[in-house]
Amino acid sequence: MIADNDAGGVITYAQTGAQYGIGFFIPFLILMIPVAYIVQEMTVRLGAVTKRGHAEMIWKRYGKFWGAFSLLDLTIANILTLITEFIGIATGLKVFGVPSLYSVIGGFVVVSCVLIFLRYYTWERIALWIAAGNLVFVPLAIMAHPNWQKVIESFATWYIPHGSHFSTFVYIILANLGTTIAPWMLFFQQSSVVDKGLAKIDIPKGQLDTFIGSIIMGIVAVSIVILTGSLVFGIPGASGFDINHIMLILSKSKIGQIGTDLFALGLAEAGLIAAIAITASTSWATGEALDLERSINSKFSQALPFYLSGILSAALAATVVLIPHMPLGLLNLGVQVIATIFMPAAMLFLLMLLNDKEIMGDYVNKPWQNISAFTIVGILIIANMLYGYTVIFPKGF
Amino acid sequence: MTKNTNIEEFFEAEKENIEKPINVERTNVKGWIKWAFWALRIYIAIMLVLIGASFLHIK
Repeated sequence: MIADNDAGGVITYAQTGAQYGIGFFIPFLILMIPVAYIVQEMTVRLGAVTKRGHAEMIWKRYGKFWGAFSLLDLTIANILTLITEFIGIATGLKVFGVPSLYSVIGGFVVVSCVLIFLRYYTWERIALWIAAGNLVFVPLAIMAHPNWQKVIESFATWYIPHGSHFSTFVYIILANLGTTIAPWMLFFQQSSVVDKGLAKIDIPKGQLDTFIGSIIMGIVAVSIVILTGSLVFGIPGASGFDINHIMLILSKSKIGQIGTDLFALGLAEAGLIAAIAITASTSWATGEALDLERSINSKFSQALPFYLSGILSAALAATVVLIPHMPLGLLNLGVQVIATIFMPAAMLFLLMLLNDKEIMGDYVNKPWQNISAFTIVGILIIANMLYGYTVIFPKGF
Repeated sequence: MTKNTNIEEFFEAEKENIEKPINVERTNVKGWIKWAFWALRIYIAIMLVLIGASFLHIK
């Protein structure tokens, strides 16, 4: 759940704070906590009841076409997202003078070794320890000495910031929504529930786990927005700052170089934990869809295609990052649009499965869960359509 | 000894029962699911057009 705040997420929150301050997006990100919980909780229930992964369920329940569509879309989206994770690792470690070549290759080696050599129990604990590094943003937000009165007031005076360009604003909304619920998270969480061997009796614990993870994710996201909203927002040109520029401003602010180093470490850690989770999600989805041996508890030699699918996707992403003069703008847009297409599709499959009485029995969605989830899908589709419209007709608004 | 064996057998049987994945067969798509699939196809078609247009706008 904490892997939700990946490198792309950290960058998005930092840029959101720099561009819009702490007004609109603090309450917005708090609203994202129940959104994340509602979506992720469904995967826990589905995994525990069926003991099957998301890719497998789509493939077996709705046929090869939709199964292959989901697998292909997930794999492409995962490779593109992994590129952003390796960029995050390289950007974070560059602050410590580590050249991109070493940080990206190092990141790839760690991700591969974690997947190949660790069995589920150890794999989960190592991943949790790395994920705990995400909390570094909380003391950083406190070190920024934000105007807490303003933070609290943002809930009472919630309004769209004046002078916001509509297309940019929709893009930021979509980016924040996209970092909260992404396709790989659905596949990852359901597969991990299955691989861990959770049963119906474990659902309440899984729900509590998801709830705690959602809260921590929200706290971290809000902390990053408070940090850059307090220290970067308002500086001329802040709305156009990239993450390197934001870190430069942070190093000259109240948190100083030590604070900036911690921020950079948090960015690299966010990229690493997400890369571990995304690589595993590709392996699981491939194994499930193609009915292969698919457990982290399997030895490398016993489940070669399972391990290789994830590792090759990570290797491809790492290679792309190391290619000089890569069009990063094109890549970012690629990540955005692939995830944009896939998320409502993945959500729809999730909702169809969760309403399938034959599969879920007494664990089908309750009316409030359907209303909440369909509202999320609706908002996602409308935001996607609006963004698409603003891209094609930038002068239309 | 017999009692222990019975308990072990019970837990083995329960384990077998608990850990077994459910049987999944292809569903007959009907009702709102059928409409949902058509909505999904239309959505994907629209988004593919938007993607094409988006990439044309990249400088």
